[in-house]
Amino acid sequence: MKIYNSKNTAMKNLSKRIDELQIRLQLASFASVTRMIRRPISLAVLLCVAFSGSSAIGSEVPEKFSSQLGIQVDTIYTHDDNVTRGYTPLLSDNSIEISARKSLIVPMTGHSRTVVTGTLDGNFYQFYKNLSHISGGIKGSVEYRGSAEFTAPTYSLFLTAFLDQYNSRLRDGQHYSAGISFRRPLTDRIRFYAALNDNKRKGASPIFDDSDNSITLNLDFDLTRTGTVYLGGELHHGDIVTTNNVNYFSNVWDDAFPGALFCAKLGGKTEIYTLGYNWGFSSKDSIDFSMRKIKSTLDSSSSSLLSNYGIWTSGYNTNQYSIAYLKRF
Amino acid sequence: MNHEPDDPRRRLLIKALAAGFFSGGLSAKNAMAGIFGSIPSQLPSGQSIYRLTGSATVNGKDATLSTRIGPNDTIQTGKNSELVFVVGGNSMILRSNSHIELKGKETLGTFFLNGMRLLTGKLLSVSRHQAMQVHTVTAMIGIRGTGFYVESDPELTYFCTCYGTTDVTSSNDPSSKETVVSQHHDRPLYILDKAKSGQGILRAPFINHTDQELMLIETLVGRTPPFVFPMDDYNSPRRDFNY
Repeated sequence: MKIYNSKNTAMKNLSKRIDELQIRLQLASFASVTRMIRRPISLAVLLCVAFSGSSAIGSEVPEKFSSQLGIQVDTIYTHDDNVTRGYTPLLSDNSIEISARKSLIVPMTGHSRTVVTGTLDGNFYQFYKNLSHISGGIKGSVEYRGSAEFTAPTYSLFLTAFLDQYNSRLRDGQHYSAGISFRRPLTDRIRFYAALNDNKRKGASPIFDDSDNSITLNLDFDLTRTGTVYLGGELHHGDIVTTNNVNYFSNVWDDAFPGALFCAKLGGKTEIYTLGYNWGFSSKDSIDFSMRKIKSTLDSSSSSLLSNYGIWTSGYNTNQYSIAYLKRF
Repeated sequence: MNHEPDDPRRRLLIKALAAGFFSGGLSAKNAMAGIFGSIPSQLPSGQSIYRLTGSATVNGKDATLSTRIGPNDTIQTGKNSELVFVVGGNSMILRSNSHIELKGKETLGTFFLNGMRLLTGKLLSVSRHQAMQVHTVTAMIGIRGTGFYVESDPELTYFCTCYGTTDVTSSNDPSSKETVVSQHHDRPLYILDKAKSGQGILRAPFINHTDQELMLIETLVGRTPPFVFPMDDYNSPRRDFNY
């Protein structure tokens, strides 16, 4: 083609791209579409060549993971049977959460590193749309691992900071968390994780200025090479924010729900139990099923305070059922 | 004539006996390890197989945890199977539907591998300071003592130098040749069966093996991998519950 002889730099670049495209098309012809469908590995080659631009032939892209951005996108459907986190009335809703996160790892010494993870998260509710929110934040952690032994534990100090923008004006604000964690394989099939957290939230309404301390425990159990059952438990001690149809002392109407529902901040403990199953059907794709049971128990002063208003309750219970598709790009 | 016991309870008892349910502590320990896993450590000399999931044969005979694997043995795995084993200073994970022929020698009771032919299937292997040739249908790979992962298919080979140095050559096109020096899965490759001269090796994505597996098999031969932190990016994505 005469166009290839042009001295114009742009044209030269274009002709180079056309050459590369021709080479890629020739590569793609090495197997028919039918054979590619039958042989996933061949399909992977075609996709790799097609998506990697010139990377498969030339050397214009970084060496490491030329086709991998390292961004994980989670799409999560959740049914929640008590979105008011209250005892009366119990309102249920469904939500879709879309979350994207990317980590940057900076080695410090041979045995320590800094991991910075940025997250952008959108949560959209079906019925109580004022609960929908967008959050964005960052988690920074310093990790230490004493050796490369299989069972060597990893210790971590971490700090998170997030901005929250709700449709409910009262809930707008920020939340922070600081803590330490411990992670260790117990066997070649079971991994253990534990963390101590100090959590704080600053909301537009003082009701949503809350804080608690928590301990988190988690066990991962590999049923197969691609299937993992996980069992988690969290215990939070501190503030509990709850919404009910009784205006006992806060006098704050909850703008997330229609009708006369009022939110209040009480004290107590919250237990969260998680049972889940993660099926990783490729190194970049997983389907995740989980159930969470949340049980909040008011402390004695909060219970006696409520009893002054003729309300006799020990707290509330919530159940959440989720299915998620997790994709790493 | 039907010798099957009529009573379902008797049938259950016979099946339980056949499965070794009542054969003592060792079976119970193995059963527990099969369910909950075990803490990996260096295999004692004389033991080759660390873990067998599903079915596998060594030289055509069904493999068990006590099967010894020698340097010139042929190993095959069945569907949904996996064999984790050691031969000399080489430690390997052979995935399902794989067929491998080992080449080596025995000197003073110690096994040394100097080659292997992966006819089909997937293999993760680690070794140190030991030259070795790996052959697949489409590739010849010179190993200088390293960690590598290979998938062999009639049309192409996937090869990842997890760490160390390797020389990768296309079987059908010696001009398609590349030396890979890798610290941590730096340059996975596809080696094609049919391609233009000099273009038989392509850059590939990272697939189907993890740092945790490398740590496991290094442990079985008393070593550790050259990295301290396993990368989570090599595993399937997990949900973050703000743990």
